[in-house]
Amino acid sequence: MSTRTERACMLCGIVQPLKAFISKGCPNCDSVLDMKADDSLTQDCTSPSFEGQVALCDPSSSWVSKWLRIDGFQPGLYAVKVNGKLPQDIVDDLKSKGVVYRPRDGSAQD
Amino acid sequence: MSDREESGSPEPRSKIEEDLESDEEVKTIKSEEVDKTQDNVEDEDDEEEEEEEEEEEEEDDDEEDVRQRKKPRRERRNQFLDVEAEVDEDEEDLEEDEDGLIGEDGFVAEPDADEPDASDDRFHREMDRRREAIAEEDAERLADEYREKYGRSTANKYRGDSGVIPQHLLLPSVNEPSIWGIRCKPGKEKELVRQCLRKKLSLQKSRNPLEIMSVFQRDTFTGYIYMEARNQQAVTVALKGLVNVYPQNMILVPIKEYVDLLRATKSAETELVPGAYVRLKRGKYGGDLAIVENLSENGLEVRLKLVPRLDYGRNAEAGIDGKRKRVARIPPPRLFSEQEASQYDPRNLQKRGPNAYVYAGDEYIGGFLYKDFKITLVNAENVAPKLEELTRFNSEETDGIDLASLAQSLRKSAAAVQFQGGDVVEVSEGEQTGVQGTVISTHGDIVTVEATTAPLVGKRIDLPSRSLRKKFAIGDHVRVISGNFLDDTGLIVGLEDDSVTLLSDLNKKEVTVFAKDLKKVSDIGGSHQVGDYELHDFVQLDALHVGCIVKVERDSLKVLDQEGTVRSVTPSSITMKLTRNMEGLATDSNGSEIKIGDTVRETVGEGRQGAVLHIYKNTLFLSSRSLGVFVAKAFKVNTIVAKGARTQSNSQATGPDLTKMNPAVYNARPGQMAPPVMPKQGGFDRLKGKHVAIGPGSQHKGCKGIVKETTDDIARVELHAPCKVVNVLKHQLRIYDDYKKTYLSYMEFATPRGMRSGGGRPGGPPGPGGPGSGGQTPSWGGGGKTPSWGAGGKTPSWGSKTPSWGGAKTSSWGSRTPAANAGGAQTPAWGAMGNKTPSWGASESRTPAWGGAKTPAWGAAGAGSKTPAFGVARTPSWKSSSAGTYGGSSSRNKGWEDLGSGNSAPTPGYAAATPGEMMGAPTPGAAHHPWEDSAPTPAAYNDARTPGVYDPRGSGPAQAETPAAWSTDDAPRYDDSPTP
Repeated sequence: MSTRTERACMLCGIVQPLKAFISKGCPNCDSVLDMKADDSLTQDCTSPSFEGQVALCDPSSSWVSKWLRIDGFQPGLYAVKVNGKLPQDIVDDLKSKGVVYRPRDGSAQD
Repeated sequence: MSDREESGSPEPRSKIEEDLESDEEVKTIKSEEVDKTQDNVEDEDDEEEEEEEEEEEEEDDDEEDVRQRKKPRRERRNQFLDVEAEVDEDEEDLEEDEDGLIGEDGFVAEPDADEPDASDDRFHREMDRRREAIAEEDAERLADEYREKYGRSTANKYRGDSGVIPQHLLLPSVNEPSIWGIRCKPGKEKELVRQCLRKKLSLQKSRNPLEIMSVFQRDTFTGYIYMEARNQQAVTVALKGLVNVYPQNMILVPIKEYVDLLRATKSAETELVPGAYVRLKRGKYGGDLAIVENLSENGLEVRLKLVPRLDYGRNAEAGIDGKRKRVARIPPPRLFSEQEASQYDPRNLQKRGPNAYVYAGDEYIGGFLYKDFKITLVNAENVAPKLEELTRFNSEETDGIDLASLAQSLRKSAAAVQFQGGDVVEVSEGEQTGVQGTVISTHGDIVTVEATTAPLVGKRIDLPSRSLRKKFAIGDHVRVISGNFLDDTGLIVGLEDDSVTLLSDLNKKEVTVFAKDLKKVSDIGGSHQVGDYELHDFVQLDALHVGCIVKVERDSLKVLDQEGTVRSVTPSSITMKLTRNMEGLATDSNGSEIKIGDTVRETVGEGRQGAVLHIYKNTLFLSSRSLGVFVAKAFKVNTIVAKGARTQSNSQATGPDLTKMNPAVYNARPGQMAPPVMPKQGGFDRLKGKHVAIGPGSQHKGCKGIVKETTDDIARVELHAPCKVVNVLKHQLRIYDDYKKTYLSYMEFATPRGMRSGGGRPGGPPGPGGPGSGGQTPSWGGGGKTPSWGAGGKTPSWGSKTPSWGGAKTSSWGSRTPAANAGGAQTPAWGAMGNKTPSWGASESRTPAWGGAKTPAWGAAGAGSKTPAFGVARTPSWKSSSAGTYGGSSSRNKGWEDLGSGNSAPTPGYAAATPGEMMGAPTPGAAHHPWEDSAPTPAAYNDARTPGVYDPRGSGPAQAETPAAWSTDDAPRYDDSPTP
């Protein structure tokens, strides 16, 4: 897989090249999901398959960001839908850190 | 900071120091450098701030590079920052060592004394460093402060939501910013979104930041990007200067549609479960049915079981580069064959186990291909597996079709259930599970049900439609309203949960469908159509068999073939549908023509009676109300009712005079060649498809068009200009001749080439007209033919003709003229007939012959059944045309024609000869005419055959002179006699 391919973080939905994920990690999820320099973890936690690009400009006042639950995140490019799910162990790990994982593949129901 | 950075630190530093050592002017440089470094630091900090604030712009290559360039610089700065104190001193010591000023303080003074400049320098440097240190400390502090203030991720709490807020609480309110949909060039949506983001970020710090909250696109809404902003002005400003976007087309999205715009629909692919049926979207196996074998852990890839499409490299030779062949042709799906693989492409084949192979990098087990596909390539919606596809998956090991997974894949594709008032339903989920009731009304997705079971009887409950299912009882008559069995009707014979088994009315088979696909009905249904085929269509089954569709089932047809056997065929196994004009003609036992729609009765056997549906050779497909469709032989039936009231021509009833239909019989005359026969245009009319111009006589005169269909005398012409199809009499057409590039009259066209050159048809038909016939003769060439036929000198006529050849054309014309005069312009024939009338009236006995009719015409034309009418009608035009066209031959004809008329001269005697006689002896010429003997020419023959016709001439006064002409027989006479 090319490192230039864009991927979307399964947790926050931000879209950036795989390279960026590996070199700098996910700008939103670094504290809970340290992907930096961890190639396999990055592969696991990001998805090359996503749809609907959102340029998040003003997270705090945007309804779109609220709806997509990205209002706490950095401005940037996000995906509406990220196919794929985080591996269960990572989900558990996140849970222990108090982070609820809501899959962004459309399977979350409520 | 990281280890790497520390370990990397000394190097650049020592380099600097070396530089210093080696150069005297170092100081200035150094201070400059320090300044620069400081600047750098500040810059860096600035940059960081900025970075911290504007996060993660999307990165192009260039930016990537910039970033990489930045990093080392930052590291250098870090050296200064972090390890200044110790490292610096160490290094200084080292330097001193290197300088030979090794660590003894005592010596220090000396160099001081010796080289005050040098010490100065050191102080300077030290001061510089200190200053630098302070500045950098400052910078660091600043950076820390900033980091704290705007700090991002690192060591920073994850700011995503806790997930406790349910989605519906996030529904938009009126206070939310508006969303505008803006048209853009399809395919440019993503690019535009990114451009907007870049623009937003780059203008963030400017005086006029963009006031947009977000920009997004969805793949499902092509040609639009959506922008969230408080006012439209902001959107317009944000879009200013962007290409491929059309801000003039801007739509304010209604608030209630916000959610739909951003719905992350749970696509079916992620619901894939092993065993489910899916279809591939594209590629070699695009559209192929596949079975999900397994899913990759992250759900992005799926392992599918497929029926491989392999040609085992047989088409690989086509191109050197393997790529091209792929476009060529995709091989049909067939199970993997080890034998073929080892035969054609053994190099790519590896055996992995019993019945498991790796071929060309793909895995084949039990003949099936097992391959990983990206989930985006897989389509799980509307799979609707076809039976033939499913059977392909049925190899020996797998028994039958996995109905459960099939049902699942079908269920997925099914749309929402539709309820109608009166439907009996049962609640299948929720608190009221089990409650039954009747549907009162439906409102979108909400169904109002009046309960009919115990606790709630009579109460009306509103329920979502998905929690209801239709309730049927055994014995209900239902129709399938969706799915594979659409439109089938039947009686319910079994119920089980959601599925209902019914006995189809169509084929008496049991089918199992979902209750939701059923509806109670009372009619018996099914369509009368499968594909292109309908009930009672006439179809070609194979080279030898045709048949009539007698029953239409859901995917098969029952066809009664011409042998009377009923076979069940699938629509795909039918070769073609036969159209009406591809059907043949037949005659019944009486010889009368049978047409489609006639009612006939068998003369033998059961005496079944039916209407003719189709005709195939001598087989009739008949249908009757009581007997259905059956087959009978044409020669074993009698016409009862002829469609369109075709009259029976004779009192003897039964059809046309067969003797006249057969030229062999009809024309059999000793020593005489049968006139060429214009084939009756049965199956195909040459006129069809011709470019024609419509000539005079028609209201469409002057129009051009193409002949689409023809009947005996009418052509349906599709006009070029007013786009319509009109009926035109054939003889009003002028047909474009592709070879001659001119328009031909219909007669020219209809007359076979060979005949035309020879002068065309035997002059017979005109015969009736006597002199009139003479008029026609040239064109018909009845006469024209003669000379050649006449075989020269055989005849006195020859001799007699000679003078006319000799240039007494005029005379010949002359000779005819009276006839024309007699008859009036266009109708010499008629005129002649008029002349004839007395005799007509006189001899009843002849009438039948005349009614028999056309007889002379028949005989004369040899073949052209219609000819008489024609001949008569058009004589004038004929004349003219023939005169023009056949200049050469016409002279001859004329000569001959004289001869003909001359011939006729003696005929009065003939007139006496009754038609009956004539018929009886088809060679009357021989019999009656002394003359004939010597000259068995068609002319003579004409005479002989057309007694009825002749006599008018004989009786007509105009003809009086002709005989004279004839009898005298020489040129001068000719000249003299007629011209006046």
